[in-house]
Amino acid sequence: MRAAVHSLTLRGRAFLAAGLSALACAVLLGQRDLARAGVLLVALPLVSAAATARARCLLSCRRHVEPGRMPAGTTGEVLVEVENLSRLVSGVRLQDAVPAPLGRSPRFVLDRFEHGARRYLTYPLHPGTRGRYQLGPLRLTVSDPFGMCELTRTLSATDSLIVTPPHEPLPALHLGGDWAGDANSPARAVAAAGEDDVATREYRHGDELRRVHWPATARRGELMVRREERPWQSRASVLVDSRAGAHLGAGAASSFEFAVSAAASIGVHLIRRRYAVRLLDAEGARHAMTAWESTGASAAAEGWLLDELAVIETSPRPDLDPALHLLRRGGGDGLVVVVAGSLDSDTVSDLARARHGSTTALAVLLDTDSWAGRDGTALARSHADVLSSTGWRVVVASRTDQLGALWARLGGRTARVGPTPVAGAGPLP
Amino acid sequence: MSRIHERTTPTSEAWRASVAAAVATLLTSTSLTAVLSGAAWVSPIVVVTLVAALGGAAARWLRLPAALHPLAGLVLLIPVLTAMFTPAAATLLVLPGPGALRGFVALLHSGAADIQTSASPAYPAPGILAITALGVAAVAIAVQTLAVGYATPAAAGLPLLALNAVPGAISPHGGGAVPFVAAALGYLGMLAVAQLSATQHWGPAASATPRADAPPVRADGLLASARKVGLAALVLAVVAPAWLPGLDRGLLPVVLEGRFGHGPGSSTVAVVNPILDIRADLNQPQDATLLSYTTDAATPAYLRTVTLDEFDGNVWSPMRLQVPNAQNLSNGLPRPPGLGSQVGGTPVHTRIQVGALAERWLPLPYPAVAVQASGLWLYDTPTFNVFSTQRTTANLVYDVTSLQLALTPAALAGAKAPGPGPGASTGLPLTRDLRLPAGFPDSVRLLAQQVTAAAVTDYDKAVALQAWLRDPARFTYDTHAPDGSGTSAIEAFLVSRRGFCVQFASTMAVMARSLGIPARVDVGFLPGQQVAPGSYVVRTHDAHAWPELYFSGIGWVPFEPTPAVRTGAAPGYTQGGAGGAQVLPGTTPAVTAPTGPTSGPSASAGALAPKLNDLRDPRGLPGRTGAGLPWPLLVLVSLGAGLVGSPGVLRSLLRRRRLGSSGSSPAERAGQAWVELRDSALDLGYPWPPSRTPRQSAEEIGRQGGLDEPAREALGRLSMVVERARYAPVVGPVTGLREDVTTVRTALAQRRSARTRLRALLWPASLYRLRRGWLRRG
Repeated sequence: MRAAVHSLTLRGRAFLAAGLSALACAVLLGQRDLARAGVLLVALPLVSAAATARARCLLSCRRHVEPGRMPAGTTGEVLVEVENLSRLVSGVRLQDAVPAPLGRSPRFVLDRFEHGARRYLTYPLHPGTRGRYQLGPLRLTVSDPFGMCELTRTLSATDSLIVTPPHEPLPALHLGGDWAGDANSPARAVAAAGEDDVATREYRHGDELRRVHWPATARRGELMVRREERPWQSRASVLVDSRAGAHLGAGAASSFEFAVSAAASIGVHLIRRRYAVRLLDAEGARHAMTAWESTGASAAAEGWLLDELAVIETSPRPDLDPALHLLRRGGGDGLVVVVAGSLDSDTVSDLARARHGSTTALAVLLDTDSWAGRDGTALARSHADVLSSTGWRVVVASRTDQLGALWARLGGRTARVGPTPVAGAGPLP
Repeated sequence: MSRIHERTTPTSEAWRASVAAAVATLLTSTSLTAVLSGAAWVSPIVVVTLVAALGGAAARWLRLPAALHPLAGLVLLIPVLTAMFTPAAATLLVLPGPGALRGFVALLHSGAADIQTSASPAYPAPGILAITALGVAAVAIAVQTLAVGYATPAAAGLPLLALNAVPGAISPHGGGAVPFVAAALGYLGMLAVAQLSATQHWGPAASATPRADAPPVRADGLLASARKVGLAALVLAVVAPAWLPGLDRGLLPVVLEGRFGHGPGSSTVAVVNPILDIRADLNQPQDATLLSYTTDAATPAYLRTVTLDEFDGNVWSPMRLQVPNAQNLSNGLPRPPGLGSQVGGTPVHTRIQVGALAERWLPLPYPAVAVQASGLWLYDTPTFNVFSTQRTTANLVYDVTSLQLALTPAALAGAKAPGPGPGASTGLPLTRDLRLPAGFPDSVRLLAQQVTAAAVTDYDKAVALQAWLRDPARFTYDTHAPDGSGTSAIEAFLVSRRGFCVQFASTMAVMARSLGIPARVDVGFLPGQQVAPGSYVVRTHDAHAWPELYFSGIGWVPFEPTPAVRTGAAPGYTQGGAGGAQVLPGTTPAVTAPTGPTSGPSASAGALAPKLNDLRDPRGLPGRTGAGLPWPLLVLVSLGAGLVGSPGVLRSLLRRRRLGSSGSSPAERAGQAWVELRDSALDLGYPWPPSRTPRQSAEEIGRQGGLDEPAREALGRLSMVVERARYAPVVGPVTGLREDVTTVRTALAQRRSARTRLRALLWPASLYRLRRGWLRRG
């Protein structure tokens, strides 16, 4: 009852007040016509509130988002299934909470919704900005047919949606870093003919007990363990320069977003080419483990990479030391790809030192000034020259460049690139 | 996949809102049926409302700011009003020329005058029509502006309420329930349409299948619940006022009774015409006592409140009075106008005590010679109307000395009507009493001549007219006949031949005037009912109107054309030379009333009043009389009591059947007793899980119920019996089940609160569980 009274809208309360005063006047003046109007005005909100409270309106909802991970700039679709657990309700207004970057919060009406029936709401998503978003909760407004009262409920169920940075397919290049192994990884498992297709070795301290190969142990009389069957990996480290100071521009049109997009495109490209990829940013690895995150072309690896890039943010750190430390510690195996913002000479020299041995190192240097409407290619090109001289393959990217073209230019020369690499502006031989 | 939702376009929404507002306005204006007669006013109102709706929709379509919506309505309405009411002054048929405004204002003035002089329901003369159309147009524009422009249909209820209140302000009975229901339906419809639009505006409907295109909202569920809720509220609104106190009179007048007072000391009186209220008085549901009087006259006189001597074709009204303050009763009254010295009369004393009747006119027998009344009461010489601008007659006590004139047909036959001309023999301004409005229908004139063709003298003519009107084969007395005293009402009366005193009196007066006999209409009261010798009571239903005709040398002579069913026999002097001295009509020998001489002079009126009482049963209004409860309330109360009580009754019947040892086997009886015990425990709110054995149940109940020793023993016996009945090969004797169950039940109840016990009595939980069990099984 109290809930019913509290549910009265301003109109309902006004009706109640007007009706009561009309009744008082009617009794004082002896006006039967006024008394009727007064009773009507009083009865309408009360009957409405009672009917609304009686309907209760219990709904359950499930949300299916398709696809669950979508790049910014594409279109997705959400299907919400609503089931009525209470008696018949009518004129219920629904609104699903959709964060502003994904599009408008959709509104639907449930009318003549019987007990046990299901209704479906389908609405599109147009995510404009990468990130992790929450869809829902579904808010429902129950009101009476005269606007006398209104009950608002929220169905607690929410779903999350990841909007990845936009990425594009890149042309295939011949890159280094193939078959680079882990320092402690054993030789490639070779399946022998016959039944003994399990490569074993003797137990060493620290081996897991579950790896013990009991038939071989029995045969050999000492503990034997299965060798870790680990294929050879092609490895790549992708470093996104996430220093806030290294980027210009705001929002989706900033150089940082360009860098994230480029990293996403490159990372996906590498994963699809069966590289194990790890993602680094200014703070170091984008994961608790520094381990390589993927083995071969797996959707899971791609998803992980994109999820990480969906939520990557700039950091206030002025240098790239943790990431460069990780690169150096890697022992020089694998492919290194750096997408760098504006650099100072110290960072450039650090970066130059991070490549050693036969590592293939690629760098996309962003001419961040072009995101601020200036031309800074000269500075970027001088940095590119420094890097090139230490064996990096470098392109300078400005705001209007297509990543595919840049990537092709990175592979313009096969294998090693000398001191006159693709330094951006110069016409290629 | 992107979906494009088909939504109602704003244009069609604007139209729908406008149409809903127009329909609400039209339905509300049905309340005008209580104040306007005929159907001539319907079409202007419909036109005006629809044009206003057009204006509202157009303004919305043009996206005008809400404040400009009335302007759009006005722009469309002015040409329409011009074309309807002042076509002559219009330029190009519709554009208001310079004369149009003047013409319209003149029309409004004439309408205002018409309203002053018309009874409700009034004949919709052009002036009244113009006022009505203008008023409805204002309401329609206001409703359109609020409902469509400001999108606040709820607030649009205010102008609608104003329109609905018009009859309540004018007519004593208000608009009645039917127009109210119509208005409320219109208003609720408007609200529902607004809510429908809001809902449709909210978004598309959720589809019943996944991945189907979202359909537009049809909202028939919303409309269905609108019907239910609206109907419930409406029924309450129609029914509930019957139970409100004081609606017939209002508490405010009761509180302020006798305190209202006195305007500035002017001697001009402008009152609502008393003739307009007669029908309302006659049809009052209760026959309230208005005044009482004692008199030493053998037969009491009619009490004349006011004389109406001006007839404009629409209504009889009293002359607008301008009386010097010197002409007040304390200075005495002059000799009655035109009364010849040869007419003999005896003075009669009457003491009148007025009750609730609050009039500005003083009811007096005619002709009065001297009056002692407190307050300043002024009189008008030619009419002898007595009035006060400072107080009303409410609770006034005054003494009157009047003349009882001896009139004979012979004397009257010898008298001549003075004929047209400025007071030929008397110096009185009798022209007023001969004047007929322009356009007075010749048919009435001809009819009067036909009726009086055989008569020679004016007196004979008057007698012939009266006899013709009193002929029960020709005319029927009917208080529910249409009201009105104008020429159109008279013509209608002469065709339908049904009417009441107002029509009879005004018809006779008009016909007499057409024959050259000065005539006027008196409004007042029949002598009333005799309650003690010489003591009389006048009630609402005694309100009456009768004509007075003027004869030279005799003065004003009352006639009684209203049939005998109402007035008894006609005055003797009007019965065509029946001979012998007769007294004036006031002193009508009403002894000849149909009910016979024993019922006293006022028998006719007295006999009629109860009859009207029977027709209009006041018991529908409880609180007014102590005579019994209102039957709808009784029915409702008994229905409610039945609803509340029936589960309890059912439960006790069940208990009686279970505990009755009517020939069933001992095992069955034991089982029934156990079931009864279980249900009693459930009724009282004790848990009784079906998983327990009888012994466990008994222990648990005994513990929870805190049973005393005898109850515990009874419980033990019962559980033993039921165990035996269920498991023993031979059940053995089963006795005292009823007593044991009753003992346990009483003991269980003692531990429970009074509320729980009441619930167990009225709404036993075991019945509910039983029902739920059936449902589950079903």
